[in-house]
Amino acid sequence: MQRSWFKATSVLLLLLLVAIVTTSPTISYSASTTYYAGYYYYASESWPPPNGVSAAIYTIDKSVSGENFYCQWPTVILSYTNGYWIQVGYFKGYHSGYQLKFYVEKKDSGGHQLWWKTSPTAGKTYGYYLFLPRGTTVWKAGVSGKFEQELQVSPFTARDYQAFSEMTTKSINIDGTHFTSICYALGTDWRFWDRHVPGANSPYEVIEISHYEFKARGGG
Amino acid sequence: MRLKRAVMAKTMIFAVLLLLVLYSGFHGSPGTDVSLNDEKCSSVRAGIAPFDDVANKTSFEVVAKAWSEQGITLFLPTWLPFDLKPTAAWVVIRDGKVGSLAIFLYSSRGIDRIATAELALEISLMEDIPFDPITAEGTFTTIKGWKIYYDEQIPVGWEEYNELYGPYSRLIDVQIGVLNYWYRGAPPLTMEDMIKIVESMEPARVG
Repeated sequence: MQRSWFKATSVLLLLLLVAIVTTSPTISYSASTTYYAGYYYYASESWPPPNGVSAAIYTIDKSVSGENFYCQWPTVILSYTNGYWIQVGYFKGYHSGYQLKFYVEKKDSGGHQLWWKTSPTAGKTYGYYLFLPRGTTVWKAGVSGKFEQELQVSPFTARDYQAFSEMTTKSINIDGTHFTSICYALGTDWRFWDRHVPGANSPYEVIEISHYEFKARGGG
Repeated sequence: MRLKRAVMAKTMIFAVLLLLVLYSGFHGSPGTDVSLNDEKCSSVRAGIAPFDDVANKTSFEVVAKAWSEQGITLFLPTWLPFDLKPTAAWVVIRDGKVGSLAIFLYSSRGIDRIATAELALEISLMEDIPFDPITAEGTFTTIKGWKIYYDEQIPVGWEEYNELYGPYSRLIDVQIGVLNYWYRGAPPLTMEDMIKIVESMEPARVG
């Protein structure tokens, strides 16, 4: 009697342990479950135009659950090997209380910092930019007509640019994603991207329209 | 015997309860915490699409030859500690054209991923060292007449790297002609090792 009670308890506890481990949400937290859809600039025969990147991004308002999020942004790559970048975009998910929020963010040799801003309106298109005025080492990050802030980063030179939609789970549907007028800055001139390299992780898909415009869809 | 079983059962129950407590404490209650905490966000965001998701994996020789044909001389180290060996060169190759940003990896364990190789060398066309002498916290110097910037301890933004080597790397950045060479070295590589690696740089042989 005692022995069968002990066996039954052991089996139940074992099952409970297995259930805890297999349903742990840490699985969806790992970096390997980040999904991307968008464009790399990737200068092929010269250094990237040094003074910045911008994009007009249509705001989608999609359902997000649990500790997940999606965000859409242009970014300046400061170093691929160390994972350094500056970024401006909009975000929706756990960390923004499931609200749409503009943000500015950087990772550099000084560490990571994130600044939450006001909320974009779903269905509207906003102009996002990162700009390095000629002869300076301080970037300006902003959304046209909404906000602008300075970013002092180290290193400060652009190695590449990206414009992407980023998701933490394939259960987020990003249909309706639309980036237009993706530009680089040369001096004080903004010019449309003259090249691009598309990138997307399944189930997401990039629909290439031109070097400076794409749509993305999938997920859900 | 009966006492032993009772103790074992109690121990198992305690272990499960402890796991439950740790589990709930670590994850909190999703949806109830709406504070805009950057630390939380940093722990989940890679933030950029990795270069090796889009680039082609090739050999050092392919890149050196292509750049040589464009009139660019590539310098590479001729001395490496800890039995480090070249494992991969990552570069975008489109329509047969080799791109101008490449990442060379060295490992003693055959690691060919950018985030986790022991020694990574990011090379791109650049006019000058990408650090501001007024604000940067590392050291500016010269080696063999090349401009150098180095920092013994700078953070790495890739979670996979942090899991293997901790939060920091060594950095030494070198400007030789139109190319900028950014070395990321993982412990146990020391700053002295990194300097010796740079001192050993020579024009790559193109076959």
